[in-house]
Amino acid sequence: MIYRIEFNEDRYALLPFKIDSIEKNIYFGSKNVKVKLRWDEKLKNKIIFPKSLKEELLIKEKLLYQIIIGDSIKIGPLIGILVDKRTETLKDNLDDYISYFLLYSRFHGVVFLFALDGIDFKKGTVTGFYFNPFSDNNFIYDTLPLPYFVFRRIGLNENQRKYLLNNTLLYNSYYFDKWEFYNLIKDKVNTPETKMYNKENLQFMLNQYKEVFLKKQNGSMGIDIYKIIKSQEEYMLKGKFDKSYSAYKSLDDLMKTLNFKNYLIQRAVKPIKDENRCSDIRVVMQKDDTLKWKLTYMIVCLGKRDGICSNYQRFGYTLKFEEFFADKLGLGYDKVFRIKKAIEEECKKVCNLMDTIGNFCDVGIDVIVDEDYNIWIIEANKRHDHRMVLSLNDKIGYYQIKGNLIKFGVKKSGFELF
Amino acid sequence: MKLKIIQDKGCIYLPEEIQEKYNLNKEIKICHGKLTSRAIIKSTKEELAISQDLADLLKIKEVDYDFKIINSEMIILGPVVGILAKRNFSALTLKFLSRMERFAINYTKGLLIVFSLDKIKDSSVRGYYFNPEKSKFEEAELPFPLSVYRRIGLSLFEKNMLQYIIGKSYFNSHFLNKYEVYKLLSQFEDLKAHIPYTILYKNPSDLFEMIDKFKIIYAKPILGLQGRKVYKISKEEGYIKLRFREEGLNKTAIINIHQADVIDEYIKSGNFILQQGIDLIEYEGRSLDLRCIMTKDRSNTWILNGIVVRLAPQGSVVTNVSSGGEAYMFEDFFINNMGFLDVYTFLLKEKIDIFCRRICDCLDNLGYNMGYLGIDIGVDKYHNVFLIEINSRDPDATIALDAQNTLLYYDTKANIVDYLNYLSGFGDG
Repeated sequence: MIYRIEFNEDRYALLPFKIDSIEKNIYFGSKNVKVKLRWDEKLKNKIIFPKSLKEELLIKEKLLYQIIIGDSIKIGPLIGILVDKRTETLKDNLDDYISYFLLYSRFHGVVFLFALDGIDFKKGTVTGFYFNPFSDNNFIYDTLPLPYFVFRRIGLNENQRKYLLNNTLLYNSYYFDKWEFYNLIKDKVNTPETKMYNKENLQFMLNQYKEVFLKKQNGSMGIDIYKIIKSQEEYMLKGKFDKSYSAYKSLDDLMKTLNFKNYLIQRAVKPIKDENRCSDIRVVMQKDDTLKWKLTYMIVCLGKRDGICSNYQRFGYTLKFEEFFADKLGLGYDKVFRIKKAIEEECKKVCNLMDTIGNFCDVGIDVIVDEDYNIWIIEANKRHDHRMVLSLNDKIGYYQIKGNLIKFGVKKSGFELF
Repeated sequence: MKLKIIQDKGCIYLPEEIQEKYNLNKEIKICHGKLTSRAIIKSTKEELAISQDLADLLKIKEVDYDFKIINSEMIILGPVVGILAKRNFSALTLKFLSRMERFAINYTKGLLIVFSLDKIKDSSVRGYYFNPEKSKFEEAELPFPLSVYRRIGLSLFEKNMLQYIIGKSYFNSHFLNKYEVYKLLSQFEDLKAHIPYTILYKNPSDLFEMIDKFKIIYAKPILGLQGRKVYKISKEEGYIKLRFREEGLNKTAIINIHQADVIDEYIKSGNFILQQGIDLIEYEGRSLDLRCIMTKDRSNTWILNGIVVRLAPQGSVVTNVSSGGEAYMFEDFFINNMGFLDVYTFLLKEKIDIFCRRICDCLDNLGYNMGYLGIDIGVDKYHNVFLIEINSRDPDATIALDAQNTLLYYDTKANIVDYLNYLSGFGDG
């Protein structure tokens, strides 16, 4: 049921239904006010509040809201998406975020975009752009209470993070680097052995596996990545953008070439290749209105020919999961299905482990299927690129990814979809 | 974990760390499906093992098992789940069993049993279990499973028997007829506006009343399958027109309104419903509806696995593939054939998803244990969705194959087994 909220000069709130108490706290996000209540069934889908509540609760007129009645009355949904550091930049890019609002008519309330500088930490308010389907330009710049639910897509410092965590349901609440992630999952899922970079560990890993990657502990987008191969006489090193390997007589010589401080050594598992392109799979795992982890999408990335990784943006390309495994590799659908289920299974384990260290509802997990069809978890991207699916020209997949986040936020903060 | 069978008596061998972790008593109850026995725990440094006498008694097979320990005093080996596939054992032919192997597409552990009604004996059953080494079903004396997917109709007595053995852990607990679907779901205010008005047909005056009210109505057998004996009825001056499909042909019957008793030749009192006709979207003049494949998963959550568009033959009143219809995947069809924008296709899909899950949740709330449903949805030109009917009697998953989506077909089969696993205590959460 959705309601229109109007204001008048009275001192009490007029509701269209009877409730068990003559006075209750009314919440809109972080703001709340105690109000005397009366009821009038003729109001049907309308609620009338004293005028003073408009300012105190920062409720926006003309929108429709859901009401949750419990010990208090909760008006909503009120969902914020933290997408930028600066409001000024956000203002110029508002249209990029329109896909978050496609499902708005299924829940109503207030969904808004905001930047870090829009948070007033003292007043407990946020100034940002809320979606108004009834206005011509879709977004209205205004001040709102701290929302029930915040999904963040940018980095925060510890104080900012703690503030939002204490005052809202903050999702993507915690940043972890590759090393922390490895230690979280290593005993529970199949993941390549990883060690901190130093000579002893490098020696050990190369003796053990012959081929390893060096990856920056907090690197992203596969930028800082090198591969080392040990042969009988020499060590070969190749960076992501290098055309060929450089050979070194000793490990010391190799280690001198670059500063590998804060790097990790990861066993290089052998992914399935096609035309000598490395493959990996970006698995988009999300929670939706069921509040449970689900596989939303899988994208197979194929890197450049003879490259060391599967980065598809330069000279590589992407394929849908079935296109790669069934059409390109020619595997039977029963085999393709089993691989898909095995990936889903491993990724769900990873997500459940992530739930033990923070609030998460959207993660892009990189998975390698090796030549023997074993599944390897490589890493988890907390702020993964939602647009990756557009490389497959699948707009529905893109809308689904955005839609799931909002559906989760609505349901997680106690409201309904209809 | 494979359970090794060794020459000993009355005991189970468990590693000490497991005994310590679960604080196990010296004696424990072992459950394998509905068969149980008490056993002395002995320590081992190697793999789990069980004495020969208990393995025989509990009908343990050489497959990998998962285990659950309950209250430090009971160990459940499993999952042990079953598909009640036929009434008679003789109908479990090799050909049939090979088709049933698709349920094992994502088999990992325990016993997946296919059995018939006539071979149930207390806590055990003679049937077939999936042997992963041979990748096929093998005949054996087996424990009665802890959860059952039933594909056959049962009398009240037979249902009571099943309930006596495993409680409510079988699905679908009820095969809903078309009138029951209407009566049950139209109680819910939010659903009512999305279900065509329906009455049980008793005599021709019902039909005339409905047709005066809605102009176009459908008469359908309450227990009908595959679009057989579905009539689209309209009223013209002095007569009513019945359009239907029979033996692959579109037919029309014209009945003078003064000879109403002729209607009884087509529509039998008490066996048919009359349903309000909705002006649904069509494709090139052909009717279409959407088959939504709903299953529960191993966390007891309803999932819309996929939507298949069923396109009727030209001029046909029914869309069933068995009546000559065609099947397409929803997204492809609406974008490529109907010319919908991606965004509208997405919004319609989401609307259908929420609607179907709401229907399933309502059936859960009414106390039914359903795990696999085929929900037929119609869409009008304003993109409103309507519930046409619900198939709860083992809906045919091959519709996914008709729509060239083998993965959807496997997903459906695997989810049925996942929900069985959940009901047997081996699910998530």
